[in-house]
Amino acid sequence: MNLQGRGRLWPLMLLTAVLALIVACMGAEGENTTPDDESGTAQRIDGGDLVVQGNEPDSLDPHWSAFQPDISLQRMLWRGLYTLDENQEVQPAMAAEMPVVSPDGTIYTITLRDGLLWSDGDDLTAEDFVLGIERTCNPDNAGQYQFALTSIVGCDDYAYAEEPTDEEKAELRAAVGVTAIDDTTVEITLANPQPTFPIVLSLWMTFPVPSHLLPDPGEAWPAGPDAPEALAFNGPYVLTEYVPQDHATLAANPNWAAPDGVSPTLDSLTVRFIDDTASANNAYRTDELQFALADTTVLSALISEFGDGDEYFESVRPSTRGLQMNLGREPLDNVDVRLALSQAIDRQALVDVVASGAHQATTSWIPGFVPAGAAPDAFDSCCGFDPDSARQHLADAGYPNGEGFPSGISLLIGDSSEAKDTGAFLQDAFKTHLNIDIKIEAVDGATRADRFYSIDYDLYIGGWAQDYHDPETWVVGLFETGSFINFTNCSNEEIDQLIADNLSNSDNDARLAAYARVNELIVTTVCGVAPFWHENAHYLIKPNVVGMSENANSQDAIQAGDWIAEAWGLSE
Amino acid sequence: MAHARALPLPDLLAGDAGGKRNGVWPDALKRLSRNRPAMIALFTLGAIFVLAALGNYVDVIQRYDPAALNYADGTKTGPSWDHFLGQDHLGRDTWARVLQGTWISLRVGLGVAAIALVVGVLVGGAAALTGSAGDNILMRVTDALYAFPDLLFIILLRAVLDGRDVPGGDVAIIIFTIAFVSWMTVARLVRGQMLSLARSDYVLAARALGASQTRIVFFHMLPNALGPVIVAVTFAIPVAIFAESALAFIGFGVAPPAASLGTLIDEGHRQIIETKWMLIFPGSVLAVLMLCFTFLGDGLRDALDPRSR
Amino acid sequence: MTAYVIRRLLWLIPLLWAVATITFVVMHLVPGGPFDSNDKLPPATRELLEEHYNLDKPVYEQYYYYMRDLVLVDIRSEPPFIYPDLGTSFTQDREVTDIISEGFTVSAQLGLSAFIFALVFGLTLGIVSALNQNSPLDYFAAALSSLGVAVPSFVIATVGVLIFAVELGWFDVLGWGGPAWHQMWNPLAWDWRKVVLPVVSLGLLPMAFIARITRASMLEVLREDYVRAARARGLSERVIILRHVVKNSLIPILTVAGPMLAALVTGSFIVERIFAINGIGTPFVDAVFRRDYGVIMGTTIFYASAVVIANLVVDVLYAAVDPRIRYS
Repeated sequence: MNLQGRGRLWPLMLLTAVLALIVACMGAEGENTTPDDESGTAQRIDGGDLVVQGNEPDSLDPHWSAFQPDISLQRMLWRGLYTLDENQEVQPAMAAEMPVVSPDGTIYTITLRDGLLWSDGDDLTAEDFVLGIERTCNPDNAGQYQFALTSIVGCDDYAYAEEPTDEEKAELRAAVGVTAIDDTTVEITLANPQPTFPIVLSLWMTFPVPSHLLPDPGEAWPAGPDAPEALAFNGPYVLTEYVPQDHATLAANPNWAAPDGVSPTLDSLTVRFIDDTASANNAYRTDELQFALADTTVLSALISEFGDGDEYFESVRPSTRGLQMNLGREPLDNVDVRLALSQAIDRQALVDVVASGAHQATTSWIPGFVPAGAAPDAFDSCCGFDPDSARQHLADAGYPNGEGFPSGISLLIGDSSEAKDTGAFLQDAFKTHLNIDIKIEAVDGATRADRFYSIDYDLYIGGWAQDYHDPETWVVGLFETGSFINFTNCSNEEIDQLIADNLSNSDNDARLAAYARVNELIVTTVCGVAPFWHENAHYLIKPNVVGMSENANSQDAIQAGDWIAEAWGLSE
Repeated sequence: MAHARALPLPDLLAGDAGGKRNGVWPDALKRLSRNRPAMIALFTLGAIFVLAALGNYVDVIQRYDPAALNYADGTKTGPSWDHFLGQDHLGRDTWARVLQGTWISLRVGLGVAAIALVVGVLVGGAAALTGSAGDNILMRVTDALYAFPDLLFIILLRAVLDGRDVPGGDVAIIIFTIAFVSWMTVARLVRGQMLSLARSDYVLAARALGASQTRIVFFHMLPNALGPVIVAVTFAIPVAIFAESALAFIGFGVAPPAASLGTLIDEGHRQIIETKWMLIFPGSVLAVLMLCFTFLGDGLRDALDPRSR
Repeated sequence: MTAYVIRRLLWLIPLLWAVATITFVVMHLVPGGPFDSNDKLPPATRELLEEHYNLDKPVYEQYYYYMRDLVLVDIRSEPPFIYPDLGTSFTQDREVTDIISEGFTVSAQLGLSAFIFALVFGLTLGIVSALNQNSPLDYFAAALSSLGVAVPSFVIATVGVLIFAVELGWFDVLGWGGPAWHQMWNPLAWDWRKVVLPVVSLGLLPMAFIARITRASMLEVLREDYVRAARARGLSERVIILRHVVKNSLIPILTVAGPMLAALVTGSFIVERIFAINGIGTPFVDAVFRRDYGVIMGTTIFYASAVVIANLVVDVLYAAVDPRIRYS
């Protein structure tokens, strides 16, 4: 089941960015991997049909979605005023240039490029973008990423109105701080300055609405099968067919206004919805698919079958997994117990045995390629695998050789085979190295999430994927005492102080140094998590596919390089 | 009901008439013992049962802790003297795991059969004996539950009970969920048998001789009704073991580190590109179990229903 | 007979009410809600979503709303059918009736095809082995049906794909090749490369079951007096077998056919998942995992009606074939 990939993007951003004076684009050069052949020998040809594995979206409604497969497909079909390039920098897309911001930072004036058209030939105007933002704020639509627009004047009032009448709704809608000055000028008014706001304007929840087809912001977005007829598109592709649970077929949008000159060359692009990676890999073998996610269960066999760098590619995902601990429960409130658990985990063996070597073993919470992150082995000496030290810590905590350790401490895991294997590994490791018994509770994804959010667990296998390329997305809200997404009861005065002091720190070096220190504190005091690996993504790509270029962006959600699917194509 | 026919009084179960031997059960046993496939199946099942039981409680036979990850010795290995059936992807000993899995799968199969038998006999019997009002209510409830799509309802129930603290743990939950959709067949069968037996000559005769209702039900009707029920329950065992493997496939099997045969086969089929052993061994044991229960069920049916042989 | 069918159909109403109520209660006992698996959803947004779908209401109120909508039928102009309003999918933002009608077309074709496969091959194997009792042919048939009895469908599917699709290239890995319903009888409309493996994977178990029943039933009938009488009358063996034995052996098959067909149509999600077939099994299993109450309810109610109707049809057929059956 595809629960892991579900909506882990951006929710925090607004909370923090209101105060932040940072721009979220610290170059990630060198970390972007390009699975595709860069030597220039593989030239993209005109035409061809490409079939790729994907996951079925829940909805095609960009103003409602929070699910990665949704966002992946929506970015192929629509595009916002701005877009993030492979270095995570904001670049104009449908806008002609970067926004003009008022001196107090609250009024954004954005000019559209000339001659923009929807796929059906209708004019794409400022009103369409206004309507897009209004739809996300609309209470009838109940957009899951509405909170990303919190700083827009009136958006929250509109979204959270208590049982409004139609007239009240109309008034509230009119009060939302987004207006079309003329056909090509959008003006957005913020309640507070937000330097990261252009990033929001690159995201799906601000994509335009074809207002000539859907004039009312409360109107339901057509479902997949109806969408080819009922919708118009302004992205690189148009949807030509949608069969639920089966596939979506796309074709090049004749009216695509390529911001950087990249236009689709494919005759058709089919996203085949497949959840079972083993099936997808078999279909790849029989040429039914030209792109598939590699089944990491049998990774070494796949690598030798397809050849590392030939058809098999690996790329870094900005994601960390670890053993999370509820510090509100005895004996996990004792730092020595937590350190003992952390040091009892042979992370390299865990990666090799459980994940077939698919991930990067680590002791750092923030990955090394993120600003203020640390190398995977940076904390090995304090918190990495060391059975003797682990036993010593356990003895210091009052449980020499595990004696007297409370029974019934349980590890809450999901029902995927990787989660179960990880659970079995950890259970065995704690038994072998610490002589303590823990119980495993394997539950389905929704139960697991429910238990985690209500902090009803002892140990938990969880993690984080970055929302944007900045260390604050790795810590803010997660580790401060009592924060609303702090589900581990981590409470550390120094962490609290560092985060409070640096959210709005304009001295970037000092800010990064502070987050580096927070990372160190999290790891060395095991404040809620003992990181064990950074996730990598693994793909199979046919040699004649070009243009699948990765970036370490969370918008690069499902396929390799689907943040810029217009670059995909076939070579001879 | 095809099986509804008057059978001789089962003296064996009538208790007081210990010496006489002309009832249906001794005949059935004799017929069963002459059925070679069924007897082979019975002995194989017995051997597997004993081995699995010993393998879970006697270290010498188990050899390794099924939960111990010996990945340092190797992973995904084939059979060897050190590891009779090789090691799995985490380095666990497949021999120990298969013994554990067999034991769990047998518990699931037999547990479901036992619950289905008890509940089915109680409900079916009650329906047949409480007269038309009780019959109506009980059978309508049975009908309603019978209308649920089995596998879908098992999954839903499994989700409800997932992760709850139940005595017996996961295995008990799985047994309960599968049994929940399994007893209705038995109940209907028992009711049909009881109703036709109630009109049979010898029950009428027993009644005329002044036997009490309880005595008629428990000593005269139940033993005679039981033949087809035992056959049905025997066939329910492999169905339950299969249903458990379907649950394992979608991730609703027993929690690690324990594993049923279904879990092992699920793990094995995911690894098939790299190693076939992880599928072959638990798969073979499951296949043998399935076939044995089927042959045994066939044999029982032939034995208890003398028309076919 | 007619009165019997009408009574059975009327009985469907309280039955479905019971099914709906039981499912509703059971479903709400599952911990977690539809929006719980969304990692970072702020509490305010979750509340808004739950309000939008009436999930903030007490369970009995939700039950009232659901039942009310279920009873009030919604007549749509085209196609002119009456759809009960099964509500909306919380996670997909679509009508549950749409999800079911799309998925069911495929699952029904898959289930029916597997059923027909099981029937044809099961009967053949059963008849052949009964007529050649204890011959090599009998043992071969037994071995073949053992495969279905002894090996779980996901193993058959996985191994089948690796051998026949990946190695030999005879079949495709993905998808279902059934045609539109009105093309059902046209063999050219079927994409056999996509049909064979899923149907065989799903159909082997019932095939084995049918083969065993047929064999036993045939052997029984062959010993019946009227068959001996027919032989004594000097009828040709062919006529005896076809006219008397096979026909009469079919009766026990009919009794299992209804539940079997229902189980095939409703139980195909494993095969659907392995072959990425867009049936109804995957939406249901996903709905359970994601607490998509609307889809869980809709699917269960729909299938319960299908099961009941299938059983009714079988009972009627049973009466047609076996004149000894009377309805009271």
